[in-house]
Amino acid sequence: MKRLIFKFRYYLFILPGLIFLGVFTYYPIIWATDLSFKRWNLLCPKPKFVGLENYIKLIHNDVFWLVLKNTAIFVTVSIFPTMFFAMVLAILIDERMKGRVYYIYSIFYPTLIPMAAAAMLWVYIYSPNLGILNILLAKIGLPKLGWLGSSKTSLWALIIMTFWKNLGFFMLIYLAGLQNISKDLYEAAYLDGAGWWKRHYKITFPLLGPTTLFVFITAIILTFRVFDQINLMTEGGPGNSSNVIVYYIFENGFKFIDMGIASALTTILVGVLLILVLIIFGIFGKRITYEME
Amino acid sequence: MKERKYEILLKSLTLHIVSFIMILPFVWLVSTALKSPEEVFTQHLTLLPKKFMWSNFPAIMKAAPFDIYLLNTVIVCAGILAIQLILVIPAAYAFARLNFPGKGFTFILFVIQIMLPLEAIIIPNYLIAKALGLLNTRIGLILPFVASGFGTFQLRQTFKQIPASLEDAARIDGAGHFRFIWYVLIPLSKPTIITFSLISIATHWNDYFWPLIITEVDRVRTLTIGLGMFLQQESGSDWTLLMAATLYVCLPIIVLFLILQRTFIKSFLTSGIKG
Amino acid sequence: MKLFKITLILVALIFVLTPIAHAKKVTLKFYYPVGVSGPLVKVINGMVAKFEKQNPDIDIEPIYAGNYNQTMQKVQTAVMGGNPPDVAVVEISELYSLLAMDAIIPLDKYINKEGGKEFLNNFFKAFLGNAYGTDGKIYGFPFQRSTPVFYWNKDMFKRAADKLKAKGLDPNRAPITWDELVEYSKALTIRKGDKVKQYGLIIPGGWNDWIFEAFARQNGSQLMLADGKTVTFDTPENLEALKLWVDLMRKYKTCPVLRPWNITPDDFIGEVTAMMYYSTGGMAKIRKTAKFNFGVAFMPKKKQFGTPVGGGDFHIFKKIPKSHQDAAWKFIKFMTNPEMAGYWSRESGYIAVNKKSYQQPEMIAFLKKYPQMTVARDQLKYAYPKMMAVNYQKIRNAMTTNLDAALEGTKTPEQALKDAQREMEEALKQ
Repeated sequence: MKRLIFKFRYYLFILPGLIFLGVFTYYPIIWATDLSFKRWNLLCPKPKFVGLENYIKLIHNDVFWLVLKNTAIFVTVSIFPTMFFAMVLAILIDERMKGRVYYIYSIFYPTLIPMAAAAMLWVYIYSPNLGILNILLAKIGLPKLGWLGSSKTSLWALIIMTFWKNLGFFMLIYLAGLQNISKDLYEAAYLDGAGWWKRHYKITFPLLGPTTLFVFITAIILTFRVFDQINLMTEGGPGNSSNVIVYYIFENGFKFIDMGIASALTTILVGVLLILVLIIFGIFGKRITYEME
Repeated sequence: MKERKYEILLKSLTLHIVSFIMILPFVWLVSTALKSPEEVFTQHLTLLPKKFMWSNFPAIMKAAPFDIYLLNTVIVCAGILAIQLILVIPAAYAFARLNFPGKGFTFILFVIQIMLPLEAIIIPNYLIAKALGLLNTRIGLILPFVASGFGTFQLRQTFKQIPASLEDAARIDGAGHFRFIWYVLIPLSKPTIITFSLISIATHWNDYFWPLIITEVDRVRTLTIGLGMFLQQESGSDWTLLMAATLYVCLPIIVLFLILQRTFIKSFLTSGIKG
Repeated sequence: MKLFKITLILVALIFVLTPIAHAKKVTLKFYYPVGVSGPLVKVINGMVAKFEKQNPDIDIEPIYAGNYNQTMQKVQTAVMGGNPPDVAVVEISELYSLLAMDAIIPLDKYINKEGGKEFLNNFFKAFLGNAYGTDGKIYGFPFQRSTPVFYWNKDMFKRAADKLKAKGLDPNRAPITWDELVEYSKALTIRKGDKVKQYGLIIPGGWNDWIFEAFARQNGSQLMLADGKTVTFDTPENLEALKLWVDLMRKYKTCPVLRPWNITPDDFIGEVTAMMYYSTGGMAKIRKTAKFNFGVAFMPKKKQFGTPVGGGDFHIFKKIPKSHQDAAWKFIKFMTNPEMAGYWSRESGYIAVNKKSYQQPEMIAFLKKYPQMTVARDQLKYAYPKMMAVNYQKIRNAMTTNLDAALEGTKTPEQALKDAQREMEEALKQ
């Protein structure tokens, strides 16, 4: 017995953290999975086992598929441009020491603003008649857009706003990554006559691999969980055109009071996220385990 | 390496344009926050208000208890950070420098949590908060965030890089685990700890979803929730007050970062965030 | 050790500040649907303070929960959380959902004590239509009540006088029929090339299901029968109404598509549009900010004038101490007495629910100064109860989503009505 305790004595260091992980991350997942097989809503206030009913309902619901499509668009369209621009800007700032703090802060400050505050600001910016965006569009002779009020543009308006909000954070991570690349490499390439683009294509991009992986993972998490701006700016509308998965869960759970459907959606989302973890570990597993050892 | 003239010009021009576009919304925010409602309704683009309406700020303070919201936000952010550090540092130490059975598996549990944000599992978490009596309490705003997989991962990476010779030296001096953590690891990992702390503060200052779900009374509400209540009402939005309130919510955190500007950028760039 | 000390102090601080002081008096949690910034918060706070002064043993804690949707969400989660509000103002269509959750108590007992029928006669009958449950008991008490009305910019009408006269339209009054509405909106729209400089009309989005219900009533139809079970969304009359909307927005282009609800008053104040459909609840703001003469009129008719009522009713909740319920009724009685209801109406633009308010000298003087405010009251002659159904949040979602789709042209009006009908029926079956 004593030996067993001795063997596990180091668990004291991680136990507090593990308990909180259990209570607020892993147990909830189990609970949601359990609830996803139950009917529990306004008209059925006691949870009742119904098998796959909630999932079948979702599969036959057009809104569910629209929400999945919107989520996919939101995730892919916001991740890749943000990453690309963040990297390019980081490289440019890294090379220009003059005014560096000014550039960093003017691009980074949106990260510091609460998303709720940014949402308020952008509702005003997108306001069809008083907003700066439409005023500027009118000034240069372009037609005014409906932005948040039109199902063609609402999702894109949210993507643009989220791009503005996240760009600085990723740029800063890239900037940190660039500090680890020796400047001598560029010098050598320069002497070999490589131009700006070629230097970065051959040296910077490959060496920023680990940073890019990190940015990629962070970006996925940040975009999968978008909620604040949608709740405050569009409530998923018009016509569910800007409804994404986390908002849809909220809507079903707290607005329609259908905990069964909301739990089924939660289970699906967690499943997708875990599959993504597996894929990332599968592709980059060697790298990550290498780092871990 | 010599840059050609046009290269320099092109680079600073690009950066200036990007900076300008990024700052513009904020300028627009400050300017509207200081305008009178009448001026907002003229559709002419003016950045400088004709008359500075400083009275917008007392007006929002009267409209809602923003002082309480501010206090709550500070308490919640500080509480999350304090408990996070207490939990994360020993865990990171164990994962970095100790050996015990099940280490790999438990570490994976911490890492996977990074991919499972609270937002995704909001429904069961709400039910748990309800069961534990955490609704409408500040402690309820704090607890779900205190176990940070991200922080554990970051600090572990940093702790690993500290040479074993230092540990041996400390051992010879008779230092136990906690003395070693306190006197050697923490001072040497300062940049990472500062970076993590500032990111934690910024993240939780911005929390909206969780407080929205579990708070309903003013005495525990945070700034972002107070602000969210401003937006939609039957009578339409009052843009000047809305922007004044938005500015009020943003300012503390921006000021904090401006004060710590050098430390933050230096810490961030030296510690970085390593993948 | 500095870091350690700071941490310790922080942790101590949290625990010190967490406990909440409990007062001995009855404290009522009062959920109220309004954004905190609105001038209405001050009005409500003032009324609450007055009540507390008269009743020193009762404390009211107003909880401003945002708009109607957010308030209902908060109430629902609070009820499910086993920590219900004591008293709340909730959008009137939610009554059946509250009943399905077994959340509220009937008020008959209290009303009988006040004099029963006689007491109820003090209040506008149109507003009581949404107060009764299917069991015939009264569960809600009217307070923040409105109808949609028709706003028009008199100055713009004058400026377009020649154009209007050329069409045989009177520039000194608002349109009275749907056909006139189309003609007025065409004459009042000003274009520069392809771009619209000034809209003739705005039918806002967001709560367009409510405005649509008015159009349905004007055409002798409705969206759902009073039983709260039979959906009548897909009728020829409603189709005619929706087609009119689509024409205004897509064919004549005299009305912008899906203007956000909360921005529409700005458009009217900023002279972007000459006419709009909007709640009476927007009147106070327009009166205070608009720099032109504006008129308020009945909404134009088709077969008849018609409107649903709107707004929010008081409810008292179950699973709270009896002393709280009694105090809550006291509070409701106070808030709807002639003096308070009149004061509330003057400050907000909502209609005073108490008929006696309109006999008070302050009210008479006020209406003389702002005759616009009488229109909504007079329109009550043509008012019907608003549709009610269990699971209303989901049903409303089905209505707005499909109306939006038709207005944006992604569905034909026929298809939109059919889909809405089906989705609403499904939501009821759940």
